[in-house]
Amino acid sequence: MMLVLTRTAGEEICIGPDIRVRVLSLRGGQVRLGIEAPGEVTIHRAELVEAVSRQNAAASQPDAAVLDLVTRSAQAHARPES
Amino acid sequence: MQLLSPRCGLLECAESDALHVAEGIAPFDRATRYVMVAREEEWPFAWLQSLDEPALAFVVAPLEMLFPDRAEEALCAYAKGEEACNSSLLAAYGIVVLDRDPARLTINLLAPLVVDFERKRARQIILDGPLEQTRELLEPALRSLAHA
Repeated sequence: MMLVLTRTAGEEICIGPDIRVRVLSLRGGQVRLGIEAPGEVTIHRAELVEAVSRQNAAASQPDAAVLDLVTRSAQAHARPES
Repeated sequence: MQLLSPRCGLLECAESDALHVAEGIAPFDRATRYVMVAREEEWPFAWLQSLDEPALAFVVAPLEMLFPDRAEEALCAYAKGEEACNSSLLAAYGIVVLDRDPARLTINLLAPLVVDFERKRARQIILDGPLEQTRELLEPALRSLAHA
């Protein structure tokens, strides 16, 4: 369920006791938000979170044979002196 | 303990080897214990194998070596959210998407995994940057190692 609120520039909403979201400005179909939250709360644009999750999923079933192939190629380019 | 991983074979590891990823690695939020397996023959890559879901594993590569600027950003971002930690025991890794064509290997520079080897913790940090950095081509950085 989604809570829908109407706010205008300068107005705020509170999420729990520690998080405040202020509408800073509205311009050209975009809204600029200011967020105050404790340091341990992570805040990201949703599209970044979704893209990272998609990439993690794509990386989550690596094939050892492909890694072997790739490693040979990488080692052909570079290998530190032991 | 022993773990038979369909990805990287039979692993022998102690509970104390486990890295705790409290928030998981999205979308695999329930898998919170991993072990890092770095084998000489797979350098510069390493496995990040889930101890909770044997079929779940990632291939990671060290950012300090391949993308040092990004590694520094990741370590700074991690340190901000943590109590004082020993920075010499922190390391940043990029999660790699493999491809049979080495020129199409990609690494996620937007969301590095920072590992605190002292506290046995890890966290995936989301940094600022364009979405394309989730699929940065890796081959140029691998080639540059040859000239380092």
